Parts: sequence; C-alpha cells; structure tokens
Amino acid sequence: MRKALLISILFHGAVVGLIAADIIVFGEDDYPEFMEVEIIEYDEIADQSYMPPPEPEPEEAPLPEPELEPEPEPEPAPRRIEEAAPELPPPLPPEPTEAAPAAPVQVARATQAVPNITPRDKPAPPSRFNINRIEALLDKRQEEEQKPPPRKFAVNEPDKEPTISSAAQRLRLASLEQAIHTQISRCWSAPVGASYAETLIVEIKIQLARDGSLLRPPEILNQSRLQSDSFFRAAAEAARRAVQRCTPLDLPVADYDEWKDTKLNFDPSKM
Amino acid sequence: MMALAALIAMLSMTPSRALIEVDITQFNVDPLPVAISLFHGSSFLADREQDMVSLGEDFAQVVSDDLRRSGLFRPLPRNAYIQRDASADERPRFADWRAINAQALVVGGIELLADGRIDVTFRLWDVFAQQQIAGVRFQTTEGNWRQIAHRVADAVYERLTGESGYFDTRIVYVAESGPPTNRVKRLAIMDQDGANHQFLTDGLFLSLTPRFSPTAQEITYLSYYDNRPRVYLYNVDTGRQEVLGDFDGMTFAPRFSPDGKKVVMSMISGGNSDIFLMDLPTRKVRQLTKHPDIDTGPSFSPDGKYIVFESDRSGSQQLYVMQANGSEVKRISFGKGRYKTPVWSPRGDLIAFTHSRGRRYSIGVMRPDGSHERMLTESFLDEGPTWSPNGRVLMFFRQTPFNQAGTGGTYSIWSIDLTGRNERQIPTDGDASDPAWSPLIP
Repeated sequence: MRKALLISILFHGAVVGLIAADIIVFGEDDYPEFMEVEIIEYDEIADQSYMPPPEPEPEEAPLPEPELEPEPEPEPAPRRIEEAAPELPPPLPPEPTEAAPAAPVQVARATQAVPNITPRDKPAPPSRFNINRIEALLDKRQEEEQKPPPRKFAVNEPDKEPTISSAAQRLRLASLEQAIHTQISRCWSAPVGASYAETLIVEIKIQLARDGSLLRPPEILNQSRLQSDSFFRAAAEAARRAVQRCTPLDLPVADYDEWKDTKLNFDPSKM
Repeated sequence: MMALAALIAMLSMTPSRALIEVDITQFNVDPLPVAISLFHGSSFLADREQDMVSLGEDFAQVVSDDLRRSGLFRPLPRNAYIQRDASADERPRFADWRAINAQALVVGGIELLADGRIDVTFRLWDVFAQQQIAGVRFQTTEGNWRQIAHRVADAVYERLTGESGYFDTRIVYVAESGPPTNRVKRLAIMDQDGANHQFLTDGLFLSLTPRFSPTAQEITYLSYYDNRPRVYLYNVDTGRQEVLGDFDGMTFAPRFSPDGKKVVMSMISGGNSDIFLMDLPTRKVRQLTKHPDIDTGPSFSPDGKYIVFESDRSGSQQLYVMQANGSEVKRISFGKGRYKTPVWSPRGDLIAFTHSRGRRYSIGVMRPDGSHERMLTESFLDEGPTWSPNGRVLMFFRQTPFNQAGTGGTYSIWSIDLTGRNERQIPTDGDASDPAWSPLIP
C-alpha cells in the first residue's frame, strides 16, 4: 500500500518531468497578469427606519411606542422612548389590522396600567424590581397565587372547566397546540446549517385578537442575547417573520381565551 | 446583567395563568424569498447615465445570483415586483413587498461621481418588521463593481443568517488542458462565481495543490520547476514566487497555519513521507511526525493547536489528529474504505475529507473527534475539498469519466453545502481540478 503510493508519487514526478521538458513555450501574452488592488471605501449608512414614508400612508402613521425590550436598568418609561431612538431596533409600527386598537396594547414598560383589551392585572412595575421579591418572582406558581383572580370573567367566553386537569381540556389544548404548530411551522425558515443550531432556541410571545391576527408585534423573549449574538439575532428574526407571515392564525373562536396569549418556542435542534 | 435581563424577560410573560406554549420543531426548508430591487443608476455626466442604469441592473443580478447559489435564498423574479421604483432614498412600500411574499428587500443605487469613481449605496429591509436591518455605502473604481456587488451579497447573507458571507472571495485552482499524454496544468484564479478568470503560472512547469494563505495575498503550491517537485510561495499581488526551502527530498501537500506564518507540508526522504513544519520568517524546519509509514495531507485547526493528517500506519489511509507540536497522535476515522485529504473547517467544528470505497468517492465531514461522520456527495471521483471562509460550503473537483473503465474524462469544480442538498458546478474555462478557496478579501 505504502510502497504503491510512493511509487505512484515518484512515477508521476518522472512523467511530469518528461512532459515539462517537452512542453510548448507559451507566448508573452500568456504570462500572468497581476491583480490590481482596488481601494474600497465604505461606511455604514443611516438607518432609514425612522424616515417618514414616501407618501402619507395612514396605517403607518408614526406611533412612537416603547418597544417591549427589557432594558437592564429600570427607568421611567418616557425617557426610554427617546433614548431608544438612535441605537436600538426601532419601534415596530403595529401591523395594519383593523382589529388592533393602536398604541395602548403594550403594557410591559408603562409606569401605570394601560387600558387593554386583555384586562390582566399586573403588579405596578416599580415593585417588580424589588430585589427582595426575586425569589417570589422566580416561582411563578407562588406568584400566581398572590394574583388577583384571573381575568376570565372579564371576557365573554363559553362555560368551561375552571381547571385544565380534565382529560377533555387537555385534549382540547393538545389539538390547539397542534393547530398552532402546523400553521406556524410552514412559515418558519429555520437557520439550516448554522453552527450550533441546536442552541438557537427562540422564545416568542404573541398576543392574538379573536380573528387570529396579532394584537401587537411578536415579542422575542431573550433580548440580551439578541444584542450580543448575531446567530441568535438572525434566528430570532426568522422566527418573528414566521409569526408575522402566518398570522392571522385559524383557531377556534370558542377557545379564544386559551390561545389569546401564546408562547412559541422555535427549536431548530431537530433538524 | 444577563440575569437581570432574564428576570425581566420572565416578568414580561403572562403572570396570571399558564399560557399555551407550543414548541415549533418543524420548519420550512425552502430558501428564504427575498427581493433584490434594481440598483438605481445615475451619473454626474449625462452621457454616462444610460451606462449607469444598465450597471445598476447588472449589479443587482450579481447580488441576486450570489444569494441564489447559496441555496439559502430565493430571489423573487423581478417581473413580480409591484413597486418598481424602490430606491435607497426612501422607505419602501412594505405592503407591496409583503404581497409578493418577500421577507427581505434589498434596495440600492449606483452613482458615477465626478472623479470617475462610483458610489454604491444599499439598504436591507425586513419587510415584515418594516425595519432597516443593514445599510452600507461604498466608493470604489468603476471597474471594481463586481467586488462591491459581492460585498453587498455578503452583507445580506450575514445579516439574515448571522454567519459571515463568502461571496467576496476567489478560487485558485489547477487549469488543465491538452491530451492526457501531454497534460498542461497551471494555476488559475477567478472570483468565487467564476468571473475575472486569470492564469497565474504559464504552464511550463506542472503546478499542483495550490492553497491560500489566511491573508488571501499568498498561495503556496507544488511546482515541478526544473523537474524538481517542491513547495513554492506565490504572491498574488506582486507575482513574486519563491521556493520554500531547498530540501534534498520532495516536498508536497503544503498548507498555511491559521496565522499565515508557518507552512505545514509533507516531505519524502529515505523512502518515507513525514510531516514537517516550516516557520516562514526564519525558514526553520521542524519534523512533526516520524513514522515508517506514509504521513501526509496535514491541515491546521483554526486555533492553531492541532493538525489533522492522513496516514496509512494502520494499514489503510485513515485520518489522525495530533497536537501542533506533533505529540498525542490520535486516530479519528474508523469507517470502511479510505480517508484522505482532510481539511479543518475555518469555524473549527468539522473536518472535511475525501472518502473512497471501491470505485465510489465521496466528500464527507466529521467532527474533530471523529463522530457525526456523514457523506455529502458521491460520484465516480470526488476529491480535494476546500472550505468557504465561513465553513458552510465546500468546493471539490470531480472527474467524469469517458467510459465505464474510468479512463480519461473531464475534470470540473463543484460546490456542496453542509446540508448536502445544494450541489452546483462552478463554471470554468476548460478542465479544472484542485480548487482552493480564499478567505474573504480584506
């Protein structure tokens, strides 16, 4: 084996030598031309996301809203809006759906409760950052117990079991999950072939109207990684586009209360 | 900071009750539909206006072709566009682009300046989020427009995949011509898409196994100059060539270290082939393997700590990894058949190789510990993989024989991506073998 390879190498060398000795001499113009090094200047250019649209488009009327981007330090909401403008990804204008009553939908950063079509009580933000409550906050179950009664009375909904323990209810949830999975996955272009794709799990929270359309832009949950990891950013934006492309979802209105708030975990590890 | 952000993320979840949580584990493997609007051409000189308009069309086409060939994008046909006048100067009409299902939109302009240079502006929009996600302006000589188009394609690729692009790169390869008994093999270079083809050597002497340095300015290769097969260095910018050490034995299979300061290669002496490392500034040589069997085909890991090579010390050609100083040699390939020409991926996660079993050849990849082996191609003869600088695509050469016996035939260069699904032939003028992919051009 080894001998064969050596003989082959030596033989090739010999053959080539013979060829080389005989070879036609190429003319001058066959001589290599050398690469010219071109000077390129380049610059990042201004983000145009904030430019006024070319012509007034009613549905794109500027609605400066605080994006649901968790900032490391808690600050009064109004300051954040101005601060966010030059650097962070710009605020998303709401999708032009009639169903969506504009600005007040986003509540997470507001300092006081904003009227919302999902009258869910949240604690006032300042208390959220009370360091003494971290343990309580980490234990969602405990927090839930401290909550005011769930908002289910606020929404007109058919009678149903108060718990999700019954088999029928579980079955219903499973079929809802299946319906959502089917509809979203066909719009999701996953990061095929990205390195360590199995770590690029993107969690997105969506809030839906009764017609299955988005009440507000999908919210990517791991914001800090979004800023620091370009693979994750690309994967997260692809997941967000999947939601934006495939809404409105076609889901049973009778179960609206179950799917109005949905969390989607985009997991490319099965590729 | 991370913990706080995570906490905030948790807080923003619905606190009152369990919300439906759905794991999306299936996805659409179709390429991402994107729109590449014509680059709007304009000129300082009125009589060049039309030239610039058609340059804008060609420019958009190069960007579009790059993205399409990657297999990850599907540029939408231009006649489907509703907004025909999209430019880099104003916000696009997003509804028009959503209507044709474009997920991202590239708009731009090319202007011929008074000093004869061109000014290229481009913006990339996320059509659904209605956000500009990239924007760059370039100025360069007019003749250099293709390179800028590749850079635009790289910027789009990078922003939408998170991974750096590979379009502004070159391929050096062995151009073959003449009858089998009098084959001329000389080095040639071209852009990654086959454009701007040039010969580097004149064909007087056989030239083989070209490899780029990490700086993309230098190539190391094997030349039979003066009937002596030896490793040479070639500077692409100056055309200067020099022999790398004048050894008694034949040197071959050279490859640069990741910092470009060393060359690792094989040398035959005493009827045996071993691996040697040469420090380029000092020209000092160090022997890394000393084994009675054939060790060859060395390739560094991108961190410079390890070297993968092929050896027949177990009885057939297999792949081995050792520390860069030659210690701790470990066999990593154990499959049936023969493994050779290993190349470590620039992103470090995989090693590509040529595999042969019987009369079938494949280009395959495995992790550096030998696990997760998979074959990406198969044919009569596939050989000599080389990585794109982002470690996502491989080029190799393929022999298509004239007959069943496998004699003669044509040689051509192909690319395949890591999914194994996107196999394409690279256009070359005549037969071509042994491609080497450059890093991104600085």
